[in-house]
Amino acid sequence: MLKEDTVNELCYQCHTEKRGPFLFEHAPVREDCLSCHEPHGSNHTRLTKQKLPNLCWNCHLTGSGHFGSGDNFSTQKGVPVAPPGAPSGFPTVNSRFIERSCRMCHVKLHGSNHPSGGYFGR
Amino acid sequence: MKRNTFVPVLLACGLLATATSLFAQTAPAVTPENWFNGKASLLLLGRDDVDSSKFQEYRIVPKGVSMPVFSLEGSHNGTDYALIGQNIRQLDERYLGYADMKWLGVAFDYNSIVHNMGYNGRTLFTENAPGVWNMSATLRRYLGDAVDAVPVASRTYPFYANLLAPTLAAAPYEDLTSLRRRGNLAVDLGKKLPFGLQFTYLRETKTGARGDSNGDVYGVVNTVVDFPETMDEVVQDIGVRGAWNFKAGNVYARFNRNTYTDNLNSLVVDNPFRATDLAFISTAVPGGPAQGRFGVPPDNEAMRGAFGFLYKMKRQTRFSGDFAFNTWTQNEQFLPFSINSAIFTPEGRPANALSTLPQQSLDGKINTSMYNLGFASRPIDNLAIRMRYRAYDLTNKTTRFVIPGDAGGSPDRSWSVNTPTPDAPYGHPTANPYDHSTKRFDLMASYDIGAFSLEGSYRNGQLERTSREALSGDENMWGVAAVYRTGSWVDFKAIYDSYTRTAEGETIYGFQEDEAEKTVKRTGLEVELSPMDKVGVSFTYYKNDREYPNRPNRVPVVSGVPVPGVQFSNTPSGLLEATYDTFTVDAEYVPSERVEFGAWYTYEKDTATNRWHTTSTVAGTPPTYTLNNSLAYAGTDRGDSFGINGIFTIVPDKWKLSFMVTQQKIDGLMDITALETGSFYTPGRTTLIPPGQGGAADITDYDDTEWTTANVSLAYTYNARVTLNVGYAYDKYTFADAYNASDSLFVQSPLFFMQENNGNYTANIVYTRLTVRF
Repeated sequence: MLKEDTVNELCYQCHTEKRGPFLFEHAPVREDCLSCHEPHGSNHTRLTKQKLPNLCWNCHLTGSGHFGSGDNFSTQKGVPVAPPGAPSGFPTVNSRFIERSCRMCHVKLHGSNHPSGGYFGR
Repeated sequence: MKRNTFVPVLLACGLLATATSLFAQTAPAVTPENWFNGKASLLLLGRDDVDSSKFQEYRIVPKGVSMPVFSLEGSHNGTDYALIGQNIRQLDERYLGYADMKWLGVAFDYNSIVHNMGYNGRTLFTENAPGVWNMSATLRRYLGDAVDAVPVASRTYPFYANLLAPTLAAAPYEDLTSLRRRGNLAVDLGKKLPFGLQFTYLRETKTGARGDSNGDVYGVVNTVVDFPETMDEVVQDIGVRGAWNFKAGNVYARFNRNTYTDNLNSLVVDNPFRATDLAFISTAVPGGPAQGRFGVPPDNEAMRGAFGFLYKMKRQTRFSGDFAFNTWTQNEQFLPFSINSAIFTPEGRPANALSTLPQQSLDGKINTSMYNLGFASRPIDNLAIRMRYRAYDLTNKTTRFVIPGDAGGSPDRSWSVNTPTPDAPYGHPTANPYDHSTKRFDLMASYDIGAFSLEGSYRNGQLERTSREALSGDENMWGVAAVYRTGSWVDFKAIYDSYTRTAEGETIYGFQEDEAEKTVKRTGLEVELSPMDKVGVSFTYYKNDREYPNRPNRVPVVSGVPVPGVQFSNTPSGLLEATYDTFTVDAEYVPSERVEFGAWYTYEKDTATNRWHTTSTVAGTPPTYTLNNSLAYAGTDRGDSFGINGIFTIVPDKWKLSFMVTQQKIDGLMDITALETGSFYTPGRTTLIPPGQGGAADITDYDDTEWTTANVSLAYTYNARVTLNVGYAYDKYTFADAYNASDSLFVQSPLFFMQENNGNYTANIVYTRLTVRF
C-alpha cells in the first residue's frame, strides 16, 4: 500500500539528501530505513525504534573497533552525568550514553561523501 | 461532474489530502450551474509565553488576531475552481486550489512547514558566512594554551569548567528552527484527448538551522562540538504521466526527474582550543586543526520511470503488472581529506589539498529495478484470491577506487594509512559496493460463509546481498484471520501471523540485526459491540513478539583480531528479543439527540532486550581469555493514554458546548543487569563505583513523558452564515530522560552541546473564533 515502490523511495520524497549515492554507504540504511526508524511514532528522538546507543548495539556489539579485546568502557552505564561544578574525579557516565550517543562522533550515519568519512565521522 | 473527475486526480497527487474536510464543510447542498461558496475565520487568541519549542514544534500558535482558514469555491460557466488558505501569513501557512476547465485542469498546493526543534540554544560561535561559524582567535589561543599547559591527568571536568566558565557565560543564543516550503503544481492536459496526460512540478526549499548534527572533529582536546547546521537546500521534481483507459482496464506510464541541491558545500567551525593548525605530537600535545569542516549532503539526482497495465475480466478478475526503474546519481566535488594544513600523507602531500585526492568526485550511480505481477479473482461467489509476485533489485554501479589513507581515524590531527584487505579492498568496508535484491510471492485467499469470512495468507521471499555478512536468506510468513461483520450488535476480527527469516553467509561475530535470523508472531483481536442504540464499545488488542534466535556467542578479540576456536557459552550479543503489546477500549454514549459522550483508553508496552559482553586476556602461553563483563539491557516503555469528550447541544442550531480532555503518559525504564561475579559489580551497592571499575545501574528516567491537553468550547450560531466560538485550552508537556538530563552547555569534558530548550511547558490559551460563510 506504499505510494512508492519501496520504503526508502518513499522516505526520499522528503529526505532527498539521504538518497546519495555516497562514497561510504551504511548498508542497513541503504536497504531499509525501517531498520532503525519507526515512522508511525516513537518515544525516541528522530523516530528511532530504540534510543541510542541501544539501537546501534543491536548490531554493533561484537567485533573490532570500540568493541575489541578487554574494552570495558561500558561498565559505567547508568551512573549520573557529572553536574556542573562536580568535584574532581566525579565518575561521569560514559559519553557513549548521553546526548546523541554514537552520533556525537558518527554524525553521517546515513552515508558520508567525505574522503575521510569511512566511519561516518564527517 | 467535471469537478468530480478532477478531484480524484488531485488526491492521487496528494494535493488535496487535507483540503477535503474543508470542502465538506462548505460544499453546497445542491450544485446549480453556477455557484459560489466562501468561508473565512478570524481568530483572536491569548496565551502564556512558552519558552520551549516543543509547544510549537510543527505549528504556530499566534497571539492576537489571525486568520486560520479561508476558502473560496464555485463553478462558473463550466469551470470549477477552489482556493483555500490555512494559517494565513503565518510560517505554517498553506494554500491550495484548483481550476477544472473543459480542456484543462490545474491544481496547486503550497505548504510551509515549521520545524521548531529548539529555542535559545547556546553555541560558542557566531555565523559570519553561511555555514561558517567563528570564535575569537585570541580566545581560542588562550584556551588552547591553558589546556596544553597542564598535564593530561589534570584536564578534569572541573578544570575545563573553570577555564570555560566566562566563555560559556557569554555564549550567543541560536534557535534551532527551520522551514520547509513545498509547492506542487499539476497540469492536466488530457481532458479533450483520448488519453490522460498530466505534468507535475514540485519545488521545495529547506532553510534555517538543524541541530544535533555535528560532532567529532578535533580529537583529544575537544571531541564534540555542537553548532547549528545551516540549511539552504532545494529539491525540484518534474514529471509527466500518461494513461490510456479502455473498457477492460488501462495502461499507463510515467517519468520523473528529481534533483537535490545543497547551496552549501560544507560546514566550517572554529576549534575552540586551536587558533592555528597543529599535527598530533603526543597525548599531552594532541594537536588539532584551527577549524573543523563537515561535509553536507551532496547534490544528487534521480530519474524514475514506470509503466504498467491493468486488465479486468469477469468475476472480478484482475491481471496487473508494472515495471519501475530508478537511476540515482551523485558527482559532487569531494572535500579535501582534512582542513588541517599541518597534516601530510606519507608521500609528503598536504592533506588539505584537493590535488591529494585519488579522485575528485565519486561519479556515483545506483540503479534499481522492480516489477510486480498481480492476479485477483473471485472464481466462485464466496471465494476471493489474490496473488502477487514482486522482484526488486538495487545495484550500486559506482566505479570504486582505493582510498590509500585519510584523516578519519585520528580526526584532523594525523594521517591514517588504509591497508586494503580482502574484506575492504578499497580501504574501508563501507566503501564496498553494496547491492541487494528481493523476490517475494504473496498469496491471499478468503472464503465467506454468510457474515463470517475466513482469510489465509502466505508469503515466500528470497533475499540476496553483496558486501554483507548474510549474503542470502529466506522469509516465510503465513497468517489466518477470522472476520465477522454483521453490522448489528457485534462484529469482530481475529488474526494470527507467523513470520520466519533465515540468514546464510559468513560471519565471525554474528549477523547484524537487520539481516539476522528472526521470527515474528503477531496476534490481534478487534471487537465492536453495539448492545443498545445509544451505546457503542470497541476493543482492540495486538501483541507482536520478535525473537532473534541463534545469535552467536561472544568471541574474544585481541587487537581487533578474533581469537580462533574460542568462544564463551551462553553469551549471545545484540538484539535478542522485542515485544509490543497494546489494547484499546473505546466507548460512545449518546443518551439523547442533544448529548454525546466518548471515552477511550490505550495501553502500550514495548520492550527490547539486547546484550553485551566483554573479555579480558589472561597472560600465558598460550594466553587464555575470561569473560569480564556481561550486561543485559531491557529498555521498556509503558504508555497509558486516555481521553474523554462530550458535546452538549444547549439550544438546537444556536448554542453548543463541547469539551475534550486527553492525557498520554510514557513511563520508561532501562533495566540493566550485569554479571554478578564481575569485579565491576557490587550487589546492593549504595555508592557510585569509581571510574575504571564501572557499575551497572538501572536508568529510571527513560523516555518519561506526560502530555495533557484540555479544551472547552462554546459555539453560538447567529445564523446560517455566522458562527462564533469562545474557548479555553490547556496544554502541558513534561519530559524526563537521563540521557538528555543536563541543562549545561558543558555536560562532560570535553563535550559541548547547545542545550536548546525543547522540554517542559505549560500553556493556557483562550480564544474567540468568528466564522463567516458567504
